[in-house]
Amino acid sequence: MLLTLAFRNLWRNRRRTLLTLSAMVVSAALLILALGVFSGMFRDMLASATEQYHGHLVLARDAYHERRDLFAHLPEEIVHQSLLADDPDIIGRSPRLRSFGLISRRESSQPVEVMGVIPRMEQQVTSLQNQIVAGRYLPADQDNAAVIGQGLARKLDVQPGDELVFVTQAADGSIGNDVLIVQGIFATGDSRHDNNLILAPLPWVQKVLVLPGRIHEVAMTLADPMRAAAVADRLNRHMPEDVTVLDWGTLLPEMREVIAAYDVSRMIIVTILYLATGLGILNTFFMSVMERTREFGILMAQGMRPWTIRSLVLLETLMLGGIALVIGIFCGAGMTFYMQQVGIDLAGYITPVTYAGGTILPRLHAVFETGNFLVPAGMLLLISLLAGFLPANRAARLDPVQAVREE
Amino acid sequence: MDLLYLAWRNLWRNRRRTIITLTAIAFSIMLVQALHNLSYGVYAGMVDSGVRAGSGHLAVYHDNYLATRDESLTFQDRDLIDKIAAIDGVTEVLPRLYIPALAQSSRESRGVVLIGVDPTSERRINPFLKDLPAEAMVRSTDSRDAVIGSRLLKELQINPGQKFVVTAQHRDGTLHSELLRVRGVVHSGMKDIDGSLILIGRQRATVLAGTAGAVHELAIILAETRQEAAVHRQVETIIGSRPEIEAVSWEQAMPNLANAIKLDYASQKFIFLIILVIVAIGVVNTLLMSVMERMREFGVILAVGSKPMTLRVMIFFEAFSLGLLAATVGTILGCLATWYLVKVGIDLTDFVPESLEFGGVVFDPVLRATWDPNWMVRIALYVIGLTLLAAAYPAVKAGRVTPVEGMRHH
Repeated sequence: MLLTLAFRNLWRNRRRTLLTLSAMVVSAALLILALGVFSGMFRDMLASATEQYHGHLVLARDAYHERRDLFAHLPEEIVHQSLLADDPDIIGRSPRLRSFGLISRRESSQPVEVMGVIPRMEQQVTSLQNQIVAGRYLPADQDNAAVIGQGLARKLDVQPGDELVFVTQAADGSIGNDVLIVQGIFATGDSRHDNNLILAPLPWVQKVLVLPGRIHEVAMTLADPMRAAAVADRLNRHMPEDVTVLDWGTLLPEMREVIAAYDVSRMIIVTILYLATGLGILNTFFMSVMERTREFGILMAQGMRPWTIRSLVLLETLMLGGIALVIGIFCGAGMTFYMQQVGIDLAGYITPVTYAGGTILPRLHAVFETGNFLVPAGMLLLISLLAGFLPANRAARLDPVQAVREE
Repeated sequence: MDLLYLAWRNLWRNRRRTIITLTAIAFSIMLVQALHNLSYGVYAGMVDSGVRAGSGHLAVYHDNYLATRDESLTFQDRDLIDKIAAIDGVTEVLPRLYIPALAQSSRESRGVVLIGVDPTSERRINPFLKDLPAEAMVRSTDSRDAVIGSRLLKELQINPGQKFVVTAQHRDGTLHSELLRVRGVVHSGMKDIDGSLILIGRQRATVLAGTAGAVHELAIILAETRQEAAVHRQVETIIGSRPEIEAVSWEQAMPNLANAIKLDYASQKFIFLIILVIVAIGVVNTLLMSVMERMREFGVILAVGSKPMTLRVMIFFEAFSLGLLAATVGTILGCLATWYLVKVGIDLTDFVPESLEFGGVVFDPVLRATWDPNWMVRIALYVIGLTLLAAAYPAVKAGRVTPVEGMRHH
């Protein structure tokens, strides 16, 4: 009964209700879109750090996590255990051996990181095979193949098929020095990887470093990246003291902070926008209550309780909020979907931005995330209630005798 | 004039409604102005620390160096440093040589980029060296001292005072090695810097790379960022006789920083846009309500001989006074908020662990605003314009009423 009344009341001044509604819908829908796009940027950032390099979990000796100690390779039993164990959470594992050194071609040389991998296994962890812009990914059967970053290729002026010389200090103290044949060039958009990273076959790196059969780390991909910390905890229970599995949040503390900071700034942005919207709702309902002073007086004179009047007005605002919510979420989801499928390419305007250990790609594209809908939706209802509170109070406090006299 | 007065009086016939609308507009203006000034201040801080550690506000390079970073593209600085330093507004000119090299301790090796600098001027400017004691700096341009990043030091497993070897490709194509000693350690809080930075004397670097006195970069530091364009022109004149070198601004030399700022500001602008749209809808709503209420009155005014145009102009005047008043109040509030943000700022020290990093630079954890009066005025004018725009539909509505219809209205 009260519900029907509230609903009918809303549409007594259609134009006003529609305008207020449109302000609410616009704010909710655009907010959902904006938050979806921000989340898209973070998703890109996270992907650049995990899917292009670290993986979601990294198993290594503590000394290796801390300072990339050449001699802190993994004990063999751990390697076997971690590579063979069946675990439903882990969908990919890649053993790696890393070497830092100088790569040269003719007169130019560049500092690089050479990551020795088994191509078949590395593809389960990183997605570099999808980002090859020239040549091909590491073949399974060539022992001195290399894929290198685009920036590095440009600086050294190399094409697939060219020879590179890598120089580093081996485990026995000698200067390791060997030839790599460039097979392919990858472009991730992340300047640090594109300018610095080389993938080579694991046996080749083991030979150069004189560390036969050794690896530094096992990188892992998870079915659900957000559960990384929990899975890492579980794995660590079975690890010896000086070996630790780190999740991406621990590997990239900067990024975890950025994401935490984003959750706070999301609340701030939503609050600010809705304060402006809320004042609009407040205005509309004050008007609508003032217009109906006489009517409320009559209702009260007939015996309607003040709290019923109050709930009536609150129901009206809440109902308006509800309608705005449904339309707003619908429009917001539609726009988010469009931005997810199509997006906007900004490659002509800006270059990728490296930030907090990840890279934001020059594109606007949205992702769906529950929080981006829940926060604007919940806040919209809350602000409707708050904005309805003052007018509702005013209506409930009317004195029937005076109210009825009002023209 | 009478019409303006009438419009003003009309505005206050429903005081509560006007005040609520006014609050909404003024509040939005304040927010937009304060947020913009805050970002403006933070960006300025980032640019300042970014250019000091990086390319300078302006940088002089060999023509192709920026695109290729090919270390063979050096140039002789001859008298350029003195000439450029003499330009009004230039604080310092930093010569730098970048040499890819292999750094080796007895246990470990890392590929690095050695930066050959002039220790005296570099120490005055480079923010990474701010906390470095004077005695921990490279002593002279040809000493064997090195200042290195804390993480790199840890990875090489050496301590301050110990020796390490760097090997680089000499101009003649062979590998040359030099013995260096760790003099000072830089801890910036940024992984990339702490894991890769090695500063050495300029002379030592040229000996290692066989570049005989040449540099890759002259980083020009200005007293104030806004002098950039003027100084740029003068630098162009000075280097005019040497076609092989060019002067570029920091935006080109450090695209990561410039783009980080652009991206951040773009997303902020989108939020501003949503705020303004909501404000506009609110204004339309208020004005339309007030027009609908006065239909009868408009009918009477038309019946006694006013032209519809006069009614329309009156509505626009109402919108204009509302907009002007809101812009004034909003700007006053915006000034107060900015003043607070300039004086006190937002202290993030408790929330961030060590240092804030964005777009590859560290900046102060106390966010402070900087005044941008032009922009504040512009946003206030936008809002007045927006209010007038929002008045279009109500004004048309008011002008369309016929006296008979209007007077019949409720």
